[in-house]
Amino acid sequence: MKRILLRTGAIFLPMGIWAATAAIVDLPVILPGPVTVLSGALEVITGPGFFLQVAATTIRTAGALAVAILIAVPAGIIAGRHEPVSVLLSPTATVLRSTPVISLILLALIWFRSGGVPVFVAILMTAPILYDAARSGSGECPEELLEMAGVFHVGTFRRYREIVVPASLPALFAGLRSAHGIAWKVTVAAEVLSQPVFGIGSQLNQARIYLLTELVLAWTVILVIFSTIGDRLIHRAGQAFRRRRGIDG
Amino acid sequence: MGKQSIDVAENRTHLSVRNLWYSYPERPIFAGLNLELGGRTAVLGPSGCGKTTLLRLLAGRLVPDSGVIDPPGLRAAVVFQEPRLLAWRTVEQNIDLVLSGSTPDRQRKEYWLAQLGLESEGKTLPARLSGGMRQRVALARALATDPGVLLVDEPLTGLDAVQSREVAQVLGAALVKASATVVVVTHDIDLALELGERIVVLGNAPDGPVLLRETAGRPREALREEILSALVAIRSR
Repeated sequence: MKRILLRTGAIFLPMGIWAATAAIVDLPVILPGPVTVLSGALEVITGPGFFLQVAATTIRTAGALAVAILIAVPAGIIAGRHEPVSVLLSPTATVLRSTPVISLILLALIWFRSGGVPVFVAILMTAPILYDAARSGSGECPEELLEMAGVFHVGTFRRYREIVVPASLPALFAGLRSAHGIAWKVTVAAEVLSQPVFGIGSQLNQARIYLLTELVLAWTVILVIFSTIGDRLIHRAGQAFRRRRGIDG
Repeated sequence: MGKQSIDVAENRTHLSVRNLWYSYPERPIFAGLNLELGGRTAVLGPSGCGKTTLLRLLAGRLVPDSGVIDPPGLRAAVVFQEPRLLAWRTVEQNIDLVLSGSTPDRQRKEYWLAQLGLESEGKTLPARLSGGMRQRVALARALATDPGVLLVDEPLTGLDAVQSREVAQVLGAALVKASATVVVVTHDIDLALELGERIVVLGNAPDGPVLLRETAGRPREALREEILSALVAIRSR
């Protein structure tokens, strides 16, 4: 009961502060209230091309994440077990980790067509997170299991597939949740600047140009909802995996 | 150096350890160890005398500084102190991990699962099993590989009294049926007497083995006293 009250408070308290501030400011173009934003969101959702806009951003985000997973996870898993590989990849990972997202967007704007910019930037921004997670997961793979596999002459590929990768999955799921959240943010930010025909970022920029603040906030709320759904799905997948491993439940 | 050689007559696969030297950076473990192993041998000794190191040398996980383990490259299987099972794989999948998937492999797996009372647990995850049952799975995994030598390292570690009793009984019955040369390392004299056809008591380097006794036809209590005296003597040196 206390938990339900706290959760309700966590939603309605910031909403109340927002509504009160909007009422005090009394300028919807600067800060529209929650009701105005909600009606803006309904207008967006029922308007033409909504699913196309959302689908474009979702496909870019998911595609970028998939490519980043394919590149960074195997590299990280191998790096976690082999010091020379880790040393070899360390400068690249450090540079990518430290590069400001805006620099990558500007470079991508020079190199790619508008639709490719968000994908390229999201890959580069999420790959180091997934690489770090995979490297840390495989580095913490129980040595006693690997020794057992060595004693029984289990081949290298099988050792990775059956022991190292499953042992890395808890760390990978944690990294995937972070990478997923960043992928949405970076994709939309890159869409704002690259202006593809379809995409939530393009819609956000259009709303900004016409000073439709309630639509900027409405698209933001929609973005948060989609990002949260994705996050919950990854979280559920992680929990299902932990249950399968007999860790809980 | 006080090298010592003990010869054990044995009809089954014979394993010779000759003039084996092995040191850790801080201290020597074996200084010219000679041992002839066959049948089922239980190795006892004080902590740090090199019991587990001997198993790792026999398994090929450590390379001796010098000396010979003959025949070289003998197919070894190990039952570790802890079961070392993959928590995310079922009992059968854990065993399949170390097998090639051939028909004889599958038959041996099914045989040992049945022999060890695990036939109904094939699809069970290790976390759903008791400690004793997990150790039985580890034993089935090792035996299913049809090893030339089976190395068992302190198999009752971490088990309560009831589970220890259960594992000791199952282990005793299984090792009699196994065709492999068996080396069991333990600090438990009763387990050694239960599992071993012969007992080796290892001293600290450079002494090597200080006692060898065949168990067949000897009163258990007398053997127990003898082993205990040998262990006390090693400690008081």
